[in-house]
Amino acid sequence: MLSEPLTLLLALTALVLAVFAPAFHYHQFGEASRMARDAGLSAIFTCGSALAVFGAIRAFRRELETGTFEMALAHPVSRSGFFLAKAAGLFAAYLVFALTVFGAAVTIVIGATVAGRIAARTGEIATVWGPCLASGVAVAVVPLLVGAALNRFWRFRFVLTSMASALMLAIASAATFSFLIGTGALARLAPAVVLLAVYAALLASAASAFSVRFAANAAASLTGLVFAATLPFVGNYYMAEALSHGGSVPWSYVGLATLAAIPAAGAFLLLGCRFVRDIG
Amino acid sequence: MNDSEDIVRLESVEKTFRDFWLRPTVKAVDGLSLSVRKGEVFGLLGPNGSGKSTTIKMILGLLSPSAGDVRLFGLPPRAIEARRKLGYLPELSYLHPFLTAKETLRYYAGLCGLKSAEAKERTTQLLEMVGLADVAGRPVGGFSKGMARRVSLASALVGRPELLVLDEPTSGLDPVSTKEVKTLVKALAANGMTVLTTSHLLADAEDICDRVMILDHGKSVAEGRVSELGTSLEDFFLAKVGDASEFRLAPFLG
Amino acid sequence: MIGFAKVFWLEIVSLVRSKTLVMLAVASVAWMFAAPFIAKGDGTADGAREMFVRYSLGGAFAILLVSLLAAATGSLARERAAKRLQLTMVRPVNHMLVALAKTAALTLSGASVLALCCILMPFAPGVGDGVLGRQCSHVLKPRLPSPRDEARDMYDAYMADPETPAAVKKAKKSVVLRLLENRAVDHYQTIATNDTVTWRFASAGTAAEAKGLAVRIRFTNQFDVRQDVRGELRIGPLSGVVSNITKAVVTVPLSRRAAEAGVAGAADGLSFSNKGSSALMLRPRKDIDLLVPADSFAWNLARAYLELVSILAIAVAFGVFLGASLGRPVALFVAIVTLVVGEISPSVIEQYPDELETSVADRIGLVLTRFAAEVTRPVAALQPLGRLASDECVEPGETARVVLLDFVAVPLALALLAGLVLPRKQDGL
Repeated sequence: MLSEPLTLLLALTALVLAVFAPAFHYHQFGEASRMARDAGLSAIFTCGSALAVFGAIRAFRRELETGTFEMALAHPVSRSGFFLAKAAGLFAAYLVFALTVFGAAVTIVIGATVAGRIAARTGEIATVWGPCLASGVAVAVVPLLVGAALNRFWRFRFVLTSMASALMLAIASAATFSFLIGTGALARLAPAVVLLAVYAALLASAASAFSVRFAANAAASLTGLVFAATLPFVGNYYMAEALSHGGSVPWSYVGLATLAAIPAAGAFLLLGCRFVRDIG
Repeated sequence: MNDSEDIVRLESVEKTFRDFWLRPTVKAVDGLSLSVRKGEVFGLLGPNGSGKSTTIKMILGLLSPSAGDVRLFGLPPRAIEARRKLGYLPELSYLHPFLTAKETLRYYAGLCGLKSAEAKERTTQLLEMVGLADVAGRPVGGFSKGMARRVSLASALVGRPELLVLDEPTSGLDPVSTKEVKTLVKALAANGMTVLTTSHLLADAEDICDRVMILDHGKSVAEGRVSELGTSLEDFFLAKVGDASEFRLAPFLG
Repeated sequence: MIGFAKVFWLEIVSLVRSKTLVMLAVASVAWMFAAPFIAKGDGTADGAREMFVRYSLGGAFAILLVSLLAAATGSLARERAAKRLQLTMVRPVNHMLVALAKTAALTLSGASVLALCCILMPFAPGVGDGVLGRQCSHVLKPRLPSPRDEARDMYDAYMADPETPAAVKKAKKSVVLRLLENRAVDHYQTIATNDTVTWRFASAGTAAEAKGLAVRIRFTNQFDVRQDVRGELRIGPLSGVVSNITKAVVTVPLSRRAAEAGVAGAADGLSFSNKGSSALMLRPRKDIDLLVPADSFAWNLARAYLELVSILAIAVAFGVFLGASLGRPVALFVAIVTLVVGEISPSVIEQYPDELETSVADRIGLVLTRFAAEVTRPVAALQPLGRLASDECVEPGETARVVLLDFVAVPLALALLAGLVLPRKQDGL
């Protein structure tokens, strides 16, 4: 899934949203830091959910349609094990995406916080702090250049190398600024991102199960129904509001929310294991 | 025979596939020249990756050559007039799963410009011919591989083509159906239809082809009439392309 | 055209037999009937009806737009990926007709579902009885110089003004003119106490003869607080009394009886006499509408339907073109991003006017956004649902233009491009 162009496109969209939305500094009324946090989390939520659902549907349906799924099942592997391993692989790809955008978001949030402090002293309008903004933009742009160069001169795969460069750059930039300025943003954003990953895992498990049995459109519609049904509970996993005014999400809450999601995700995975038995 | 009777003509054709940076990745066809004459059954043979399918796709206008000239009925292959006289059976059966066998044939008959009554008559006739009249109303999505292959063959013939291009025509067919297809091709050729076919099964090609060309690495390594080979097509083929199998298989055969 | 008919038929059969069409119809109609329970009006019957029309039909249209865009991107791209497309391409069919047939079939499917929604809309809860017979109005705007002309007239004085920011004085003339043009739209006119102002309207003389003429007007004042408004509106022999507060949109019916006591107004102009105690302000380009009775809601719905179908057609044609040029996931991604950019770019431009172009990044961003807004304007600027909901006439002339451009010309051009791209895209296989 990491070598799919769609993954790179969604990751770039999320990075552009996370980096550039707070960089437009007008009409923020001194809330640049909050805007940066919201932009980062909403980018992970929207683009990440799309990636989890469509990535799962595409991966399973393509393997089923081309027959590679049946080919794998013809080997001495457990059907359920194969399905679960594939679902886990999809989730790992999602984590690469989420970590990349998370790194960029942390960088921009630190940049906005620093800018807020500078603005409070100088009385100027707060914009995202230059070095952090440059770093954020680099996370969105440089990986494309690195991927292109590696593909041009050494024939590496463009999408894969771009994703890998984006991940490394984002982590390096978040780690550097956290080390220099403080780990506050990292510590506050991390639980919120884990919660989003839990929700994405729930959607991905539903999409994986449905796409084993149904055609792509039907699987997407059924996953859409799951999304609609869980909509009232999305607020429990999308915690941007809880982070405002210095708030934070305790890890104990993350644990409880994960425990609450496990039965539903588990049920979908069991359903997938049941469906996979009928293949062939 | 003069040039005007060439149904298909390729002159020094090359096809190089390129990557995003326009660097050549593979030269699939390299300076190939061939002509298929009216009424003959021409076999394009070669090992996997020798450029057969690329050549066929250039003849059909699905790919454009990097160099050289391709003519179909004396016209560029993408000209509508050239495609009017063409029937094509791809290597695998790519059918619309929601259509029935009858609807599939009516659809392609319509694309070939057949009038409704004529299309109806031709569809019935072809479904009888390929032995699918009983299941004409069933969606092809539920057909077996062999049945789907027969529908594809009927679709290729529905427009009364002057040139029939067959890519691995017996692929996926049982021995009885294979024999029927070979008989059909011979009958079509006897009625004046020109047939261009590729095949991995040399025995099949030997049975039906008047003339063959052997491709290897995109180049023609031999061309001639089957009747003038003086040996079996398989021996001729192995002599030209090289029998590497014993070296490859040696480690496994102990 | 035989190829066109066959490909069209195949696409329709696929949509029906894959149950896509049924699912679309069920989702759209279900939304139509669910929307009234979700959307809340302003407490009045008219407000509720307006909200329901906007959200029920609007929601169903949004479902159709996104679904058809997704289906359109897949119609060629998926066939190519499944290698079925090559079997059509080797037949004697013009490739442009293949793209056009797919566009037509998808548009027809969308149009059918939308027609079903329009037919069922009067029965949706909350829309109210007799909605089809409601009268809608032509909305006439005062005849004023265009904002562009006004900007040109203001240019020299503005540049000579010592209060004009130095950054603006350094800017290119085209940038300053665009700035002034944006301002001209919001240009305020002040009406002093006991003063009378007149605005000319095209065909106001004929309008004055019409029964049920009304004026929709919104006043403000320089203190930007709520304040009493008192005054009289006149047009020809008709008049109406304004008694309200500033910052509220008020619709004043004009009648002959009320005018008998006073002096008749100008035949082609609407005049307002300020009888209140303080000066009033309004933006003539935005705050005054002369409402001339037109035909019924049913006819308005029919015209709005044609415009909505035209938007579907252009979206489908764009999706088919993208599907001819790109792989399915990338085509879908580009289509959705274009849709989003088209929707948000006008508000981005509004929020980031030229004065704020202080950095290179801003300038690049705004140039790109303006380009996106300009390209998507033919579709994004169409708001037939808003006018339908507020009983404003969807003008037949505009509908005809939209149908010609968005339903016919642009899809034809996109199909032509798709036809040119299709055989070349095969090379990449």
